Amino acid sequence: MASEIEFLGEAPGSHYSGDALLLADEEADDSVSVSGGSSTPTSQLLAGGVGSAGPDTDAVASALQAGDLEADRDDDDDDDDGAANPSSSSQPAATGGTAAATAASPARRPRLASTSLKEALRAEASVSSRSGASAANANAAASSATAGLAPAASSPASNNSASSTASDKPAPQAAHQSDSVVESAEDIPFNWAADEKHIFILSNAGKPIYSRYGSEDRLVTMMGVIQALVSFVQDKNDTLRSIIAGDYRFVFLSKGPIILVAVARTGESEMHLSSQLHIVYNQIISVLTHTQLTSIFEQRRNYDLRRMLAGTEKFFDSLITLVDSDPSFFLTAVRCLPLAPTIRNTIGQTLQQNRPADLLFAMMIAEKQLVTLVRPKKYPLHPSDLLLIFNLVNASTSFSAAESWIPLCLPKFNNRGFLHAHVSYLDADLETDADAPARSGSGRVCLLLITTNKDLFFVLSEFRKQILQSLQATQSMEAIQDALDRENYRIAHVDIAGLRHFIYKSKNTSQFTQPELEAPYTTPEERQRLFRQYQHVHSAIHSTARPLKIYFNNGSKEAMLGWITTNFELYATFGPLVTKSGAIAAVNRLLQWIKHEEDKLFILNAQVF
Amino acid sequence: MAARAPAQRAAPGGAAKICQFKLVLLGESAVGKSSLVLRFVKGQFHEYQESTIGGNFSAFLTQTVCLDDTTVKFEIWDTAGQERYHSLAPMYYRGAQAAIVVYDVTNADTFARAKTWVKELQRQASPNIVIALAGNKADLSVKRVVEYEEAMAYAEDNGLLFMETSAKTAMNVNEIFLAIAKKLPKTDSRGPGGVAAPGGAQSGNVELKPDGAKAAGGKCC
Repeated sequence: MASEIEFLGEAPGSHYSGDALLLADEEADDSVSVSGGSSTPTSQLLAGGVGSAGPDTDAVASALQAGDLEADRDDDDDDDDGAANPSSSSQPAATGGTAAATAASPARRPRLASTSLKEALRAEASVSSRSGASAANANAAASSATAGLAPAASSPASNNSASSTASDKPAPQAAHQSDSVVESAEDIPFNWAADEKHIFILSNAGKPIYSRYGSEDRLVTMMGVIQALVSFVQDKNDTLRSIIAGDYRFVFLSKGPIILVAVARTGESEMHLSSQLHIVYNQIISVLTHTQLTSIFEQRRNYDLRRMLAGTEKFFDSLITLVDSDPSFFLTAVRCLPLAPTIRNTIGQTLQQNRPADLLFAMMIAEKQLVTLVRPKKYPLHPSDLLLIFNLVNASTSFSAAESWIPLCLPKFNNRGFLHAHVSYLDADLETDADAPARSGSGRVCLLLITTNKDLFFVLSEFRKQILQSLQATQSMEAIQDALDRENYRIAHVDIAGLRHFIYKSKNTSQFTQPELEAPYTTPEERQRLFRQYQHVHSAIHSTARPLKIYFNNGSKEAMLGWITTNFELYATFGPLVTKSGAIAAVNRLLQWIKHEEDKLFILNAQVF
Repeated sequence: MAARAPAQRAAPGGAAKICQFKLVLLGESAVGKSSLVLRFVKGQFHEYQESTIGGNFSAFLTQTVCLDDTTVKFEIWDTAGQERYHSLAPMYYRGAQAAIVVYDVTNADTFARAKTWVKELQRQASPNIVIALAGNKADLSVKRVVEYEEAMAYAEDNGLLFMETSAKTAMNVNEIFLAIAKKLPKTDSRGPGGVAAPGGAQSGNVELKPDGAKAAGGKCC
């Protein structure tokens, strides 16, 4: 790959004066992303990688070997599908004996594909969860693991080994079948390797809380492994951040009483996966508050948190899908509905006029784009909180059926208590008294009125009516509908030769803009590939080890340019034939175009009261 | 989608009295509270209704029915059944004149949970509250585990209105709301009270009712 990376001097040109703060300053966000230069000692486990050194790593590695994991993978270059190969050499005892016995067999040479990694680790997990996180010897591992696994191995004896590893050893053809059949969970191997990315959430006690795919109940043993790994490393006053095994990257986040793990072969960086785990964690907080989460586990370490999160799975599913397709999340920025500034001001004033005293935030969201946001001067709304709200609105298809009243915690605003949100669609028929025929599900413009007062529902309901009347009087609703009907702008409007697509984030306002994706990015695969490219450029630029000012990479399918200054971040895609100087000239013209359009594309003047 | 509910509409200007009642729906999650409300208010049924209209959260709807010479306006709180919102429930049933406690006839646990809700209402809600028990999903008769007689006996013991309902087929949906409307004291709400403010019990409620809800208050199996 012909790649050039250059460091340039301080980038020129500031595009915004610093006053246009719509959203919170992004500084606070640093606490979200994992910083590589963190002061806490951390170790990165490179299982099967080029041997990495350091006392901590060694300790862990040797502990892993107690579970018969050898840091030796000379015959493992075909790892890609190794995890999906049931007859691989890592399962020599598949026809007899238990998997645990296999795992403890000193003669075995485990593959370091994730399957064998997990299997080996599970042997250790059983030990750790029984006798604390100590480096037990292999025999202990074997016996405990056998005992621990025996109840799970309920399928016929001839199939013993396969069933006891069912939770993580896939059969090639069983792909997604497993998701639909829950009853006979133990019979059907969960082909977890079939999916590119998994997110697991478990409690510190090792109880499953959430799994992106499959049923958590069947992942109990794997949860045990994760818990053991994390607590083992914690025992050394260290933090387990990630493991690389073959193409898989395991990223861990231990937050108070819960552990979150991402397992991905998407090529995403540790930084991105870790920040996604933070986002998922914040989703939990937004349902429960930090206070409640902590106190639940203080009272009962063994609590099954799924009871408290019942019904919220779709918010997690939606969130995890969004972080894989929506740049908002890695940018920590929101997209605004393009609107003429005068219209936006009118709408903003509507949300402020005669507002109830306890109103905290009022906002309108249309199809994952911010129409406007009104807030008190002293209370900024952090973009990551706003993104959780976007997800809430996006994942609930039927807010348009009625006015809803929602206890909601915004973790960055205050993770200790609930705010209350009045949520309704402005363009859906909620007036059931009226003679108009009932219809629902047609809403596109969502109004959220957020308050600290839990008794304010009826006041806000009245306020909503007033807003609706006022929007109709000023014909703002039509303007919003028009903007939604009009498709997003195209790259042709920008009119710069060779430029295929771009993402521009205004750092002062935490907002970004991008044109529609056009050819060649028309298929889901190509779009996903481009998205990963953007993620890659983003993590190269934000790398803590070696941050870049400008990144330029001329690949075989396209050329990517990334540029970060104090005021903006710009990511641009060109055809593969562009030269570096050509690309830089093009982005300078692009910046002029954005400057020209910025009052439409961004909310430059925060509406505060 | 299903036809519009045949519930009687308010005849404009015709009714002599207008009564406004706050009604709350309680019950385990996934028993069909939202489906009942949507059937009653909008005449709709969605096979795969998302958990609670607003997505696990409480939703507010209104519907007006005519009863003889009275126009009854229901202000309905469809609450979330999830355990984590249990502590918020009093906010909704406090000051409510009526409650529908819903269970799923195909799930015995939800019936047990419904009994707990009834107890809580009898203990903590306004003493005159009219409580109706609804055994929903009655169309799924093959999967039934809670027998009609069992629930009926429980309802009689506790002075509850009782009907088996089906939001899917609209069976007994309007009927149960109408039965509640009939049982409620008809005091014109255009005086004090007005729009039901949370917690504001209506003054008209001192009227004792001949049967049921009130008598059973406090004692229960």
